[in-house]
Amino acid sequence: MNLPRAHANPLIGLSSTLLALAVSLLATVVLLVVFGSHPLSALMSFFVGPFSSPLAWGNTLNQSSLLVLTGLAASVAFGAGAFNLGGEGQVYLGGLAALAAALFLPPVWGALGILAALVSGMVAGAGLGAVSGALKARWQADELITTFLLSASVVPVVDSLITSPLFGAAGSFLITSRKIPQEFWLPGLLAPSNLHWGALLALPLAVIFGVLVNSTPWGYRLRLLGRNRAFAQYTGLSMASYSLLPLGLSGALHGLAGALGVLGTQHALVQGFSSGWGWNGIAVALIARTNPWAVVPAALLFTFLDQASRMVVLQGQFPFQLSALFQAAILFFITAQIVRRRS
Amino acid sequence: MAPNSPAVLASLVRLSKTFADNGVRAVDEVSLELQAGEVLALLGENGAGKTTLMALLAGLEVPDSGEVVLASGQPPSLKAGIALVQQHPPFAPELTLWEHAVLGLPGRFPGKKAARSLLEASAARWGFALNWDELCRDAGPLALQKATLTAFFLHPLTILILDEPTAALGPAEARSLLASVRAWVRENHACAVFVTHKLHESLEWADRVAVMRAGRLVATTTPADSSLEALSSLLFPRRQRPQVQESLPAPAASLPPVFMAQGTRADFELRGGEILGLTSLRGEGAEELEEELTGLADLPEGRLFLAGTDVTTASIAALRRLGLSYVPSDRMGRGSSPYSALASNVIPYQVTRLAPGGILRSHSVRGYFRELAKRFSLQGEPGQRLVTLSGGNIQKLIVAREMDHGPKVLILAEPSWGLDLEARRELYRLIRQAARAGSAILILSSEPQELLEVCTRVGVLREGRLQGIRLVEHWTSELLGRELLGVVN
Repeated sequence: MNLPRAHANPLIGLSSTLLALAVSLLATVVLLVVFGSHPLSALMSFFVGPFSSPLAWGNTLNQSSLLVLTGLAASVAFGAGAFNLGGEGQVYLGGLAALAAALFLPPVWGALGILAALVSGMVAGAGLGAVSGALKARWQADELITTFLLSASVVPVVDSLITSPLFGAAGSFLITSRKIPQEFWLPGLLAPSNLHWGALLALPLAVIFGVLVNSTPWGYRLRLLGRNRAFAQYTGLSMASYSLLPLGLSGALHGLAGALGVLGTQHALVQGFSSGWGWNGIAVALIARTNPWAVVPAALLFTFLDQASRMVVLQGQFPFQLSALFQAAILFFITAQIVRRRS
Repeated sequence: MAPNSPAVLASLVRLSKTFADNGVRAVDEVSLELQAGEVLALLGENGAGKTTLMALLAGLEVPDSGEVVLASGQPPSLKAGIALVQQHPPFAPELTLWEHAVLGLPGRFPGKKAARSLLEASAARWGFALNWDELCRDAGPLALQKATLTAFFLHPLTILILDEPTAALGPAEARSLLASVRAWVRENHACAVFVTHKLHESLEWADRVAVMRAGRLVATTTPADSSLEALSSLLFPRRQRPQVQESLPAPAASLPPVFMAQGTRADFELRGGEILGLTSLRGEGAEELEEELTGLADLPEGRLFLAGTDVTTASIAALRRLGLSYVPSDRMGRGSSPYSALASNVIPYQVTRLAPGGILRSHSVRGYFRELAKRFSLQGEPGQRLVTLSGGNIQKLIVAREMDHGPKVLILAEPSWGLDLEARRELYRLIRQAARAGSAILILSSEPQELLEVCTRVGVLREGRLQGIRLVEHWTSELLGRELLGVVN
C-alpha cells in the first residue's frame, strides 16, 4: 500500500507540495478561462467569493474546522500505518451519539451537557474504530476492509434510527431527528454564517496532535509503526494495543466532528448531514502528508477550493460537477507526486 | 575431447557481477560451457554466487563484464529458450494453477480449453498429475513448482535451469523429477542445470558437477571422477584457521547460564562472555530458530530461560526488558526502518530516557546519535535516511543500537551477510568487545568459516535439530562441512 511519506528533509517535501498545488491551481484557472462564458467574473468569484462576506468566510471557517478534525483523524491513522476508510460512518455515529445525549440529558445541565454530548460522540466514533482495531489485533483482519464495511453498514442503521420514534419528530416527514434543546446549542459566531464556538476546538487540537505525534515517545512509536510495522514489532511494541490505538483515536476525532455538526450547526441530526466529511478528511491528510501541523493549512485550502467552486457554480456559469472536478485536480497532482517519489 | 565433441549450447565468458547496494562481488570471472545433452549440477555454499550466476545465464541479471554467448546468437532470455525455475516461484494467490501457468505465455491467449489441453499434454509428458483448478494459494510449493515447470515447456526450450528443485521434495518425488529432467535433456539434445547442496543428488543425476566458492568457479568434474568425500572437501576445503587476535577468557563453569533452551530441538546453555555459534544450510531450521529464540514465534516444544526467568511465552517487550538484544538477518525488513532518519533508527529503546517530561527533544536525540556514532564509529548525519548508507554501515548501526545498553544476551543472525572483508573484521571486533563486557552471545550463521573465526563454541543444525556443540578448537572447517551435509565417514 502506498502511503505518502514525510520527507526526511521537510523543505523538499514542502516545496514539492507547493509545486503540486500551484500546478493544480493553474489547471483550475485554465478550466475557468476556457469553459467560462465570462472568464473574468468567474475568476473573481472563484478567488474572492469565499471571502466576500462574513457569511461566506464564516462558512468557510466552519467547514474547514470540521475538515481539520477529520483530516487529523485520517492523519493519525495513516501515520501509524492504519488505513481508516471508515470516517464517514464514524462521523455519522458520533453525531448520533451526541444527538442521543443532547435529547435525553436534562437541559438544565447546560455546558456540562454539551461536554457530555461531545464526549459521547467521541466515544461512539472511537468504539467503531476500535472494533476494526480489535479485529486486526485478534485475527489480522485488514482494517482497510473492516473500517470501510463497518462504516458502510452503520450509515443505513443511523438513517433509520433518525426517523424512528426514539429520535424522530412526531408527524414530521422530513428526514431529520427532533431538534435538540437550545441549552445544548453551541453558541454562534459571525452570524448569519454557520460558524460556532465549537469550531475553535480545531486549532488547539491540531497543535496538541502535532506535539503528540511529532515530539513524544508515543508519537515516535506510532510513526515507527507507520514506517515499518515489522521493525516496530521487533523493538517490542505490543501489536495488539498499537492496532487498537490509532484506529480508536482516529474514530474519536471523527466522532467529535459529527458531534460538533449536530450541536453547532444543524441542532438536529439531518440525514446525510456529514456526507463526504470522512472522505475529504482523507484528502486533507494526503495533502498534509499525514503531518498534523500541515492539516490546518491543508483543510483551509481544501475548503477554499470547495467554496470557491461553489461560488462559481452559484453564478450559474458552470455545471454542478465543477467543484468535484477542481478537488480531483488537486488530489491528482498531489498523489501523482507521491507515486513519482515512490517509484 | 572426443572426436565428435558435443555441440555447445551456451558459453559463459568471464562473467562478473558486483551488487551496487552492498559492494559484494557475487560472481567473479566465471567461464563455463553448457553442452547439448548434458545435465549439470551446480554446487556451492550459501552465498557462493550460484543463484546470481544462473540469473546471468537466464538473462535476468546483466553482467558487469563478460558475456553469455548462445549458439543461436541471441541474447539470453526466455525467448531465446532459457528458462529459470526458481525455488519459490512467484505466484498470485487467487489464480488457479492453469491461470498461473498461462500467464506470460507469448502470443494471444489461447482460451481456457486450449490452454488446459496444452498444459495437460505437457504435464503428462512429465508424469505430473496436477489439479489445474486448484488455487495457487492452496496448491503448496511442490504443485506450484510443477505447474511453473509445465508452463515453461510450452516455450521452445534449449536450456532449463532449476534452482534447488528438490529442496521441498521427498526422496521419491526428487528422483522422479530429476529422472524426467534427464530424459528430456537426452531426448531433445537440450541442457539442464540444477543448483543444489545435496551432494549425492549431483553425483547420481548429473553428467558434470561444477563447484562455486565465493563467486568463483573452483572446479568442474564428473561423478565418475569424484566422490562424496572429494566434493565435500571442494565445498569446505581444509583451511588454516585464522589466528584469533585476542582469545577470550573461558567463562567460569560455576556461573549460572544466562540463556538456556531445554527440551527444544536445539538445546544449549550460554554463559556471560561466551560466543556460541550455530550453523546450518539454508532451509534446515535456522530461520525458525531465529524467530523462536527472539519471541517473534512460539517455541513448538521445550522451554526457554533468560536470566533465570522462564521466558517460553514471554512477549518481545518482556524479553528486551530482561536484557535480550537481537540483530536480525533481515536488516531492512525487520532490523531497521529504511526510510526513517538514522537518529530514528537508533532510539527505540531510548525514547523514554530522551524525553524528560514526555517531550522528545530533537537536540537530545541528535546528541545521542552523535555520541553513539562516536563510540561505534558510525557513518552519517542524524537526519540522513537509513537507505542512503551502505550495507556494512547499516549493519554496524544496528549492532551499535543493540549493544549500547549492555545486553545480557545478544543474538546475531547472519551477521556478516553481504559485508566485505573490512566490515566483517570490524563486526567481529565489536562482537568480541561485547563478550568481554560480559554479554552472552549467540550467532546463527550459514557460513561455518565465520563461526570458526569468532566463536568459542560451535554447533550444527541439521534437519531442524542441533547435532551437538563442541569447543571451537575441536572443529575444522572440513569437519563442520561434513556435519552440515550429513556425510558420515
